[in-house]
Amino acid sequence: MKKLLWIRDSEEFWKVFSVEREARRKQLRNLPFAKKIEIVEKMRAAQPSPHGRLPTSES
Amino acid sequence: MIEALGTLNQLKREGVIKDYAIGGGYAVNYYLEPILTYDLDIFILVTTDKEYSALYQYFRSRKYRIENVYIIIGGMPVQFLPSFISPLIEETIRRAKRIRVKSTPSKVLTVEYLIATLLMAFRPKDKMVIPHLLEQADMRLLNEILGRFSDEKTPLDKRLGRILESLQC
Repeated sequence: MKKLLWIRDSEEFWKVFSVEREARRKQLRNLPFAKKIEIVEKMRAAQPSPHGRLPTSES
Repeated sequence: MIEALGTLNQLKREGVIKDYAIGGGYAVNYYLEPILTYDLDIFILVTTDKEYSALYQYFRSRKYRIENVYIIIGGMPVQFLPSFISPLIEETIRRAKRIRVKSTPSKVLTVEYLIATLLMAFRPKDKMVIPHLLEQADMRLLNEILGRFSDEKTPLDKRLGRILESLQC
């Protein structure tokens, strides 16, 4: 991430950005399912439900 | 979510359903990085309308909240998709992968069957995740499944072909 802040060349920026993003996705992909569920539940708690009144598990 | 899985295991023990497997967004989350998912899609092995109604009766009699197609279990809106709507659904449940979420046993669709069910639904959000799931799929097995369950109305193999073509652009 720090590296990205110092890149001025557009092509180089997107190259490094893609590599870093892919590494982050791979890291998240390899988390245990229970941990992923925790992350999703935090996301759900932070977003309004498209189902209107339906609660999240944290409500 | 884990509370919902515990309730589903209870339903299995009591014989209300024969079996179940996690599908939809939570199954995608099992294989990929976490994405925002509002409800839990559960594929259930039931053979008749009567068995399916008995499931809703089970929850109604225990005062669970039911909103539209969702049953709220531990705060999680759960949608049940019965196996009698498609032979593909029945096979996805039978071939599902056994997992444990913390200490709770459960089953999740294998990546190939998950892709097949997403190709059935074929909504924009399904089309977006399929290319990432394909990275983990056994293409020979996937093509074999799609070959058996594709028909004129639901051309799963052609839908996959369109996605693969778009990836080459």
